[in-house]
Amino acid sequence: MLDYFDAGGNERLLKELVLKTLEADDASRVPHDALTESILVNIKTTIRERSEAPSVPTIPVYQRNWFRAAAVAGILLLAAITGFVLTSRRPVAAPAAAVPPIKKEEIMPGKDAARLTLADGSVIVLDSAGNGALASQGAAEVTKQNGAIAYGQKDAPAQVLYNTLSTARGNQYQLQLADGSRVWLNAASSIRFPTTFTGNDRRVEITGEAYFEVAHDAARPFFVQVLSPAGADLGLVRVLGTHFNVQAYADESAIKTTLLEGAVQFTRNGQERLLQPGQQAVAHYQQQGIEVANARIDKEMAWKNGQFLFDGDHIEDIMRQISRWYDIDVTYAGAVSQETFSGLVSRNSHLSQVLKILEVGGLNYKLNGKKMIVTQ
Amino acid sequence: MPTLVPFTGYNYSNVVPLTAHEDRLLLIRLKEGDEMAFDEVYRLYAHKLLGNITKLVKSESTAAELLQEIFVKLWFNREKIDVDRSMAPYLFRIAQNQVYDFFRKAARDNSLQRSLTAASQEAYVHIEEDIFQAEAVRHLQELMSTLPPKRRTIFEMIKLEGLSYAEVSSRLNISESTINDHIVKATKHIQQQMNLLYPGALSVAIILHLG
Repeated sequence: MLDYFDAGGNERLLKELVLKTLEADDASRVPHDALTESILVNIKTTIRERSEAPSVPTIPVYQRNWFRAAAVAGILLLAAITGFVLTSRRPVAAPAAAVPPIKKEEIMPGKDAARLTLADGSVIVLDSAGNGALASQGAAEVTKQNGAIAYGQKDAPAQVLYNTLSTARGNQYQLQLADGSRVWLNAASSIRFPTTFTGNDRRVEITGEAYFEVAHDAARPFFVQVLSPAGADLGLVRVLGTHFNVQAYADESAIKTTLLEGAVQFTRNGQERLLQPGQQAVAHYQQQGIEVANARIDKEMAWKNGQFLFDGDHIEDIMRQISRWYDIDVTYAGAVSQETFSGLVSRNSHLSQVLKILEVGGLNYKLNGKKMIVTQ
Repeated sequence: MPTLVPFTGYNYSNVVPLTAHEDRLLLIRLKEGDEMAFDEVYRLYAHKLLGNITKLVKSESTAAELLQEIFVKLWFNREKIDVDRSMAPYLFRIAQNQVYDFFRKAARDNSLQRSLTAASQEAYVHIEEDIFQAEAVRHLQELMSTLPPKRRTIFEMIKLEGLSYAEVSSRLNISESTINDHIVKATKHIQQQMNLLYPGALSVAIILHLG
């Protein structure tokens, strides 16, 4: 081919020859399936690398890297209320979406924001602005860096102070506890925690959804108390040094604990189950028992990896996630369609993009400001 | 919509083409950033593209790089997609440009050119388009006709008939060094003329082919 290449009039013909050859349907040179598949992996890696925002120098410990597709498994405790179960799909790389030009009345995706309530009741609003030292809470120094706050243990603490980090709809945040454990908080969630850990164990309380990477400390087991927004006890996760996700939204049907690495034990109403990596403990609100099943890790962890992963999901399950992240209210006119939807899209997308993808799957809706009505 | 199969062990030879409607829906989803749609596009077209690109560039690793760049471009330019048109022509146009640019750059890069030419020499028998070969041969014949008659005869005997120097020497009753002299001058002349007509890769390749 190269032989005939020149700078003269053959250019157009050569270009057409290229196209003709590309479109040809002959079996003379068929690559291996494995090769084609492996190139897809490279493509996704390249896309991910080129999508990453220009690096803001971050102290590694405080990194807010929602798009890092860390293959961490987590325990998800999912508080069940209504009986819908979310299913998942296989993992795909997570590029940050190229942010589209803002049209009028676009509903923006959620952002890194939260409220921090200190032991004395004072509230600090956390958003993207203002990194640096935040507060001094007894023996703990609180610093903020790009969508995350970290508690550093200074000296032996005089008293144990509790702080609460909470996210509204449309927010997410990341926290590092005094022992080095990291917590990612999804929208409409909260975590109450001591500024320093004393005693023989480490205990925190959560509502909503959080992903944990617990620092290993054999001497002090880590406990996550799962609460309803009203404060009712929904279950307890006992952590044996590990990565897991806990989901306990009031409008979901179950408390779900998904384990990625390590081991955890989920306890509720006197029942306890021990999880292996890749498993999930599901405790339906309306039922007594705890079920353990293999988890769709990619689906459970999609939010933490900056994505929505829908795979054969019903519209109501999808809309609950959407409403939490985009801070919209969703109601249904008439009978709710039992159709299922699939899609994998960045959480950084505008609502309109996600909705267009769902429309392809058959969604019909009306959107008025922040109120959506799903129609037939 | 074509069903996706698990990540490993995908059978690319079993591709079912889309209806116009399915094609459009796929485009919409891709445009809005649905990665599953991107995967589906890949599964539909990448295999065929990879095979055909390899035919053109002769090297599997080069083809892999080009294929990668094509799909990365597809993703990053997804907002420009016109959903009223078809996926395949759009994708293949990206591929066409990518491969063509590759050749254009290669033609200018001497060292790359040489290694490519060496690779293509081996595969030289598989010329896809007669038209180009005919054109090149025509040009060559024209050039040869500009050679002085004796030199031209010698050149034809050595280069086109494939006779050895010894054979030509005995037939024409001239020394081998004279033959050599003629060949050198003829080659030089043709090379110069080809360079004027086709600057860059073509002349080198043709001379190599003849040599």
